[in-house]
Amino acid sequence: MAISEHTHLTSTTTPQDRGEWSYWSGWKPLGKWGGLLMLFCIYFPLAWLALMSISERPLSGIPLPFSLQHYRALFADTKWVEPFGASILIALLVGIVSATVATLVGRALPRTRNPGGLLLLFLLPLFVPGMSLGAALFIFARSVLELKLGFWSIFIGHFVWAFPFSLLIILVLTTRFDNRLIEAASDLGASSWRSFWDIEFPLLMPGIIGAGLFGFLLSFNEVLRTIFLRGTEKTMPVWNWIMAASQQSQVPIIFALATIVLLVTLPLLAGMFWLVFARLDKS
Amino acid sequence: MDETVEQPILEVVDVLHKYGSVTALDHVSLQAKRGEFLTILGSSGSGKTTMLRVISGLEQPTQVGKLAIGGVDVRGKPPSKRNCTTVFQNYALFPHMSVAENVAYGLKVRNVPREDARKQAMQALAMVQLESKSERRIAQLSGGERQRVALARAAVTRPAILLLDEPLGALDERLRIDMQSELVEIQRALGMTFVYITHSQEEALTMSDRVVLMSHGRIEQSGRPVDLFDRPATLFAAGFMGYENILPGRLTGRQGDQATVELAGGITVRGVASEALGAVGTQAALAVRAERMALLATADGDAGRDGANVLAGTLRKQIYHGKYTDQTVDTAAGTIRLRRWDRVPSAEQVGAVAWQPEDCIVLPA
Repeated sequence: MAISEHTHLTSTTTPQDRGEWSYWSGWKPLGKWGGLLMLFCIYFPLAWLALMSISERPLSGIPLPFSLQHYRALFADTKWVEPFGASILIALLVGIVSATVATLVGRALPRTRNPGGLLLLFLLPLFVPGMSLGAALFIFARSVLELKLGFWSIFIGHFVWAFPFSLLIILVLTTRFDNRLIEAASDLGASSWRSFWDIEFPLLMPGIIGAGLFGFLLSFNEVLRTIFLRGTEKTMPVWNWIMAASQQSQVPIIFALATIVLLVTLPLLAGMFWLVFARLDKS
Repeated sequence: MDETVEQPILEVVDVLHKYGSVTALDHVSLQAKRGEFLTILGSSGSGKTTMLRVISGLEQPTQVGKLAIGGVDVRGKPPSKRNCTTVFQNYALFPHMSVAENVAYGLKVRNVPREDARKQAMQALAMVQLESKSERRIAQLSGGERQRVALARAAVTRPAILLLDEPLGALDERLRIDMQSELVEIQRALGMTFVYITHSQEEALTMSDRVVLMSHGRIEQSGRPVDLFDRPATLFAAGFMGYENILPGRLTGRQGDQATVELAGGITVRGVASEALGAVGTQAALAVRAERMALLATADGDAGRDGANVLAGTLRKQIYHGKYTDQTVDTAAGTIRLRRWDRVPSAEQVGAVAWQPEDCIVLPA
């Protein structure tokens, strides 16, 4: 009797006991509100920064009264123009070069004997700490390439950093590329040069643009490797960091500058994600 | 047979192609006349697609004696420099171009002025009844429409030879049958030489002027559809062309194109002798189609006296398929399969099967 009661009890309660926490009705609301909180944590500081940049006393933390005086100060002060220009130039160069090289490598990689192993080697820099890679490139640029640290050493560091990302984006398209289209084009009379420009290039275009944008943004935001490789050259983020760290009086200007940078990069990012995810999926 | 008079538009002599250690084409030679519809028939792995790729230039053969298109030696030339185009099995249409742009591509790379190219592309699309869809994207077309676009794209440059790699393979049966007759009509209208690859003996028989049957990288037999269907030269050809009954035996006599074979069980029958048949006394096989067989009530009726081959046997199985009925009869020479298209009486007395000597072929075993 006792035994049968025991088995009866366990058979009816155990599965429910075991699974109950995973059936809790609060998981979905928790996920929803947790997600909303995360979104708030991401976007509120950015919006607050923009708000502060148009406030009279940003360091007080009170938005009102509004004023454009920091923007005026920013445009009156020309010290930031040079690092900003250097950053843009390096980022443009990194974007173009990594898109081009990633396209070349991304087309060749799927046809090699061991694409997986090679890909791993290419992607490893993603997991190498920026400090280590920066230090390594510092030695490489100075003693092996005998480069004067500055614009070109920064460019090399940024390129090494951005290339794996660009390659990944290109590979999404090249690994799925139907080589029979190239055969069809050459069968119809196109030279290999012609079939590349008429068939392969337009079909890889979204990936190439994505790779270039990614390279641009990664270079534009890069600090850690730049510190090692810059010599006396200043890029935008490095200059921002120096200003924020040393002169308190410059901080309001930096708020304005950071807001401008944000307004430039956000649309770029949005465009890139649209290209990579919306356009690529369709084709 | 004016083959010797007119220069063949396609001439392939002694082509050998290996993928690593695998021989895909084993010293094959092939010719096509101008305006001919030539079908290369074979199962997968027979080398038929490799043959097509060697002709188009997408594959450079390991070794080739002669490879000429329209009298021009194309050995070592890239596909773009050969006067032939391919309709690919998967169509390989350019997804980022419209239907009209796809069709005009061959003209574009030949630097045909834009307006002329457009006009010719529209004519080619009219040929396949798709001019109304010229501005569509490829993704918006059905399988049958894509097939037609691929055909128009390949034919628009008026190549000497059009190569077709199982172009109907991906279509459903109804569409396939429609396209078969349409393809033949287009081929006749253009007067173009078609080299058509298929694994379907039905397609080969329906469409071709000449069929080349390939197996294991070699040409097994080549001839008119009716030759392959009624006069297979080898056991493989007979099996591939759907001969249901292949009975082993021994060649006991040969007179012109007549041969006699002693089957298992000691019965001697007569049939048409294959050219490759060996000497009297060697092993041979007899091939007969199921629908050429008839059932008799007894083995010793009038049929045998009329010159027909008769085998005593008993009906084992009968399967009704609607349009026809398949019957299986056990005889001393082996199991015989029959297919009857007429109405089958439900209760039928069966004592023997019979067939005419001209309906069966004696092959080297």
